[in-house]
Amino acid sequence: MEQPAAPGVAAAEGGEHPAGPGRWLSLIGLVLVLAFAGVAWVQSRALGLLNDTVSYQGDSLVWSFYQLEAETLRLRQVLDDLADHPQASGLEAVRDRYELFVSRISLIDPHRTRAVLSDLPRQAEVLAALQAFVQHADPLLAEGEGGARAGDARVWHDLVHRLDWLAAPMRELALQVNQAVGEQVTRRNEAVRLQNRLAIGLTVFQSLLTLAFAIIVMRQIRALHQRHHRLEQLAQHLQEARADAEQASRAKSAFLANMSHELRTPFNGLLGMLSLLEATPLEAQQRAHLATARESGRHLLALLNDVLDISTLESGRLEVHPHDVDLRGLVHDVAALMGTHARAKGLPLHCEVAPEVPQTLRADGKRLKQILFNLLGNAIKFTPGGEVRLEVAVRPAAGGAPERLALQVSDTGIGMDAATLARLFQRFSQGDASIQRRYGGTGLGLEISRSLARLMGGDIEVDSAPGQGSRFTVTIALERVQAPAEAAPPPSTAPVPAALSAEVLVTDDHPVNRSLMQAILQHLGHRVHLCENGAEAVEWLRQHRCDLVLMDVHMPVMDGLAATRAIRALPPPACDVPVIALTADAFDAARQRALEAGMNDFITKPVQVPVVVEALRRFVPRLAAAEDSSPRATQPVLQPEPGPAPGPGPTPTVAVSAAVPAFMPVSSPASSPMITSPAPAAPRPRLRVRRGEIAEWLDLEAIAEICVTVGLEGYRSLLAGLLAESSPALDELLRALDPAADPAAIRGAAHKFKGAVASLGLKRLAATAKAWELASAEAPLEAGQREQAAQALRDGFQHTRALCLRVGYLLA
Amino acid sequence: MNPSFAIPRRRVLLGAALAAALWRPASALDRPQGRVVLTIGGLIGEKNAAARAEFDMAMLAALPQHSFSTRTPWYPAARKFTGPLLRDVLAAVGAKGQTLRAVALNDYKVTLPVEDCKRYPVVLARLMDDQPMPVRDKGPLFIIYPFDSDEALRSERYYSRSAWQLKHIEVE
Repeated sequence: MEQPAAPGVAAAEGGEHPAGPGRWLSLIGLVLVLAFAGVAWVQSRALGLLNDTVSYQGDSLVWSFYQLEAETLRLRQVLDDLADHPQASGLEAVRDRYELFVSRISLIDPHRTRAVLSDLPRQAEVLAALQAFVQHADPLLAEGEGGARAGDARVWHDLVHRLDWLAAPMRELALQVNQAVGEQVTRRNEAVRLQNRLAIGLTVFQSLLTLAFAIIVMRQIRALHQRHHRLEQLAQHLQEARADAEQASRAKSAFLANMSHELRTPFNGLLGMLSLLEATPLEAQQRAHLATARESGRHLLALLNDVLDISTLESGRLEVHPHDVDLRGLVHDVAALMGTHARAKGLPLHCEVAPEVPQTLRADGKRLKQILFNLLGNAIKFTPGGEVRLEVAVRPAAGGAPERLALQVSDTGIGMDAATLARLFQRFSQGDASIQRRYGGTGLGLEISRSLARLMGGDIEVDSAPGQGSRFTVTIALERVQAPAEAAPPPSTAPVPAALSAEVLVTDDHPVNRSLMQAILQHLGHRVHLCENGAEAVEWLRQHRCDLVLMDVHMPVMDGLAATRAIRALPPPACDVPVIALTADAFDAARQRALEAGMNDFITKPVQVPVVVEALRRFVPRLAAAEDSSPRATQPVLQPEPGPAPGPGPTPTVAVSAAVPAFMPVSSPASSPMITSPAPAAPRPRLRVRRGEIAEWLDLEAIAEICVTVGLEGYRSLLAGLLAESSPALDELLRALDPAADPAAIRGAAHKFKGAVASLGLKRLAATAKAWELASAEAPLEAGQREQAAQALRDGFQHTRALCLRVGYLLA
Repeated sequence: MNPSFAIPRRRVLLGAALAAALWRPASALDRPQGRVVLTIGGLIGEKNAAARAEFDMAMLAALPQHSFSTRTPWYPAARKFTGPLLRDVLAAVGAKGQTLRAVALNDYKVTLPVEDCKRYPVVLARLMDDQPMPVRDKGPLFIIYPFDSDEALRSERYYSRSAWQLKHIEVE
């Protein structure tokens, strides 16, 4: 582009005339200036001409010559009269006329005429003759002695004669002057005419240039308009393209979300099968391969979970749902759970909550837990030795920033260099390649955590140096809530009396979900029937009655919505059964669809025990009535008592209750943070725990997930129900294994037992049960095998129980 | 009546009283003592002859004198002109008209508006370069506009109004 000053011009013209209009404009501008200058010159010339004219017209030359001639004739007349009639008055008249005559001579003096006329041939000669006449006449006409007398007729005749002699040359001169002036006037007129023509020509030229200028400007404006129009069109296309791209991106994210959701189910199956394989007799080589395969599977599953969150994040559906959260309880739960993990690795986990941190605040507790699990998990993962610390404090409002809650996770681990820090929150980046190889992980967790923190009005800050450990600080907007003076007691999660027990139909295609729901409901004292899809459920309802249906929405064969419609089409009373949707889809649209299909309510996954209790209370009227008439006095011991509530003032920040595992360090601001060594606060079975044994027996991640769902206390309740000294579940299985019992019952009992223990993360025990379930499916078990199986299960049960007691999931 | 006129007229009256009061009744305008160089006729209030006012050089010289130098079309160089202001002369005769018809010795006639005398210090020149002007040099009286003071005056209109060899003014 040659003319950066006028890029629009060049661009509008395209590549053919890169400098066309711009150069033309400059040229026309220059010529216009020249034309103006020319017009100005012509005008000034015309003015000069006019001024010349004025000055020489000051006294008309021709008129002067005429006057001189007239005065000459008048003088001759009075001289003639005097010669004929000599008298004094006549002489006086001659004298007056003579003076006038002389005064006219000066008018034809060359100094006046020369400015206008070139020298006239006769002028000097005539002037000389006139002056000679004056010289001759002056003495004659002088008054007094020297002058002639009136009677001197001869003198007057002589003067007349002389004047006659002058007449001819004077007339000729007058004619010459007349002609010369005429010539002069003609020349001047011609000059004026020429200048007028020039001026007209210049004006026409100027007009043409102005016209050309205007045309070019018009063209430019039109080109600009067109360009503007094209740009607008382009912008519109871009917007459409962007909308398309966003649509595609959303579709992709939704696809990813669905896929990862769908993939989790087979993965669970795969992992279960691997565990089962592990329980069979294997060579060392095979066992190692199996361990690798299982580890890979677990890794994939973790990756899948992260992808699910990321997809949700990308499709813009990641949401936080703030509610009143018991923050101290939440921190307490997280610390207790992660303390188990840290301990498995030999790391102490310190937890400090500053006194000014409110007991209750408004936040999304589940998401907050997710962030803390991620950060603490990382800290534990990347810390080979030393300690991990969780500190909660309030950042006061400062500099326009609002008051915030700061949760700081610090470790003494490997730390990160600046380059690693810079790409820490980038997707799929995790330290450097070697770290990734060494520690595994997807690197998605931090991004999700940060997105969540930002959704909660805060962020995550990182401070780290290689070898110095890392410090992650999560800040979220601190929304204080007035702690309700009389907090409504949470719905009792204690088992209801058998008389009140409800029959609940759970329909879910996911075995783990089924097991969990079964565990929860059975723990609550209800009877449960399980179905794997909607068709099965509808079929079961034709034959049986129940008090409540919990229905997954997305299922194979027949989904929850279709099943509900089918149920509502059944003959009464089956059609009146309350149906509650179970779904991970927490959108209003999904809720609306569920209600339209005839469902009564909506429980979002992961399910929380209190929500289930509440739903049962609402839809099974006799439960609500019983609750009202017999309050909590009859609650069994399975409901853990809350610790002493921290009151206002400098009370210890974390309530130390019997529920807190003793190895969890608890600090108070009054004393310096201290690490309590794992000293049992209550008598515990002396059990030697191998390094890594806890992780081998217990699926800590699954337990963490359950705890996220039902809380640590909830989990403890569930576990206590399952692992009671005399466990009904185990007893049922052992009865089936009795040599006297029907061999066909073994498989069902083993399956049921396996589902229950697996859903609570007791993976080794579940694997054992599953192995026998499979074995019994292949061929009826011999008596010896039954005994072997019963022994294995009893041993596994006891060991699991001991481990759970040891780490605090079970209370002695 | 121009207030500046009061004092000169009083002086004229005093001179008249000293010279001729004994045998002639006091008049607003003296009779000319010398040769009459200017007559003014028409719409005038003061007269010293039948239906007109007559001036000799002495009477004109007795009026307040005004001088300036200016270039003219009639002389190659600037000349100094001296004489009474035309408006003073008109005031002396009590002129009431709007236009003046100036008549020269050779019967040249030109009309000029009285307004000119009010707007410009138009001089009725009787001296050129402090010398009386003979008839053969455009004398004895010459109406002169101050051409050099205003560009508008340097035009044929005012040159033609500058009557020379002036002998009579008719107030109309």
